[in-house]
Amino acid sequence: MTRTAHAYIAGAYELPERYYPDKTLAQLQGEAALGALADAGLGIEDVDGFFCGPDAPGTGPLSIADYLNLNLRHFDTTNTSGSSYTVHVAHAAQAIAAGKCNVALITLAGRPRAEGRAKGALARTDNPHQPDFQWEQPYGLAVLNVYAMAARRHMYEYGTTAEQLAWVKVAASHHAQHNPHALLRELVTVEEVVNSPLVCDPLHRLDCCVVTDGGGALIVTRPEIAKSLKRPLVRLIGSAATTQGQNGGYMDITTSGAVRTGPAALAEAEVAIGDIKYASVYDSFTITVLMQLEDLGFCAKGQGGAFVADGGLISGVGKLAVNTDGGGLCNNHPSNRGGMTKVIEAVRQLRGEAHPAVQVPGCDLALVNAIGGQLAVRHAPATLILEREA
Amino acid sequence: MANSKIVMGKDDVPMWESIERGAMELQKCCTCGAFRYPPAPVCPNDLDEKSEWTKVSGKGTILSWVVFHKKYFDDHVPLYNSVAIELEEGPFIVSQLQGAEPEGSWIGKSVELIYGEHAGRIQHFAKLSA
Repeated sequence: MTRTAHAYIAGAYELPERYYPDKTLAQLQGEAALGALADAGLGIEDVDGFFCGPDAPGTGPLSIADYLNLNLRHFDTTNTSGSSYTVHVAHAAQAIAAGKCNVALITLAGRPRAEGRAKGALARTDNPHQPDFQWEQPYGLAVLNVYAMAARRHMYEYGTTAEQLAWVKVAASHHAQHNPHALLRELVTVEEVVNSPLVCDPLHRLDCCVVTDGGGALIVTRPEIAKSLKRPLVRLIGSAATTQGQNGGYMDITTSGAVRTGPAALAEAEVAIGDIKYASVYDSFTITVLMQLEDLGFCAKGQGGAFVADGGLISGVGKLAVNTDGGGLCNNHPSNRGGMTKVIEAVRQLRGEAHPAVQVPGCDLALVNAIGGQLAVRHAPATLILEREA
Repeated sequence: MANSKIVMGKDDVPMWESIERGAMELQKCCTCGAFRYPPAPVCPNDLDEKSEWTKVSGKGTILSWVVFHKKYFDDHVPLYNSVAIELEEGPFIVSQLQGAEPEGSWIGKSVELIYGEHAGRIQHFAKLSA
């Protein structure tokens, strides 16, 4: 390959636990940061760029920068919910290309289990003053609702079944059984998913991701530095993000903004969707994965059900290995934000460091897609194309 | 847990006042005629800022529906439904179906808006059209 890349992911680290009753948020942010730096073979003194979301306690980047004694030239607190950290990778690459920093640290950590919060990085982000909430709040819609609305409509338009959606969870459980850190390591069957209690019909409890404490961090750096380190070279060759909203009441609730970010990121990378060997696809709910696979172009619109069925997403079995760490559905959804772990598992795959049972042979090209916010209402999909440099 | 809330921003007040009167009005773009929801300062079609609050017929069809089995709000006790309705004026809204429920799929069923009290406020509900 002759194409140039401005930035490489040199360090990736996922906190090992899924419940942290005795550690502070700052400690978790710090442990994640130091873990990723150690993975890269860099030190805290090397960091001159810092990217975090609202899960970082304090004022924007200031409190954690102070706590970790970061000496920063660049910082960014873009918040697009779960996709924030995927967006941060692209923003870090842009900052590096612009000469604004050399070593960018991206962190995520949260304790929704320990703190008893089922959703959101901030306490009840469902602010009634949010101007676009007419769609949801007064009529009893929470979060799951809009995903369930999309699922129901998808079933109607394309004949997608609850059993097909269940296969997304079944694949996640097949992968999670090999991940010693995964919250849920038990294999589940399609029958178990569709017979689990309905939370919001048509979605069942096992169609939903886990709630976990924890987090992770990434180190993005410039090519010269990445090549001086002793880690496999993983570089960013394409990225795209967008926002999608209700559009004044004229929105297709079965299509996500990934329909734009996928092709844009692939075009920038100058690769085709069929070249992708591994995909990390945001899995807040089973329907989230199915819709993204269609919108990204892994299959035609409406064919997601057939694509995921019968082990379609199981590494070594199906058409495309997806979320080989067990994903948000079984492994980890730290701070109710899945964008970070999506990047981390893609890095593992490209390095050849995924669990041997789920490692994709010769994995040299991976796609990451995160959905920030909520399908069927406002969301900010962000796509990354990552490549292993030989 | 708490009660669900309505938005009372500047853009939304006329809508909720019209709902109080039992005849919902939405903004209609003065230039292209497109209705929009939720209330907002610009038209989604042509981004024009001029609009007129205009009564909607209340007639529409169900785009999608869900039934909650888990409780998220004090004022919405499961089992309860939420329906997305495409109004005949164009935009889709969310409401709750009251009264008779369709057999099988609800999608495509004709509904009309009715108005009633909920948690100390008046809001719309949907009922199947005769």
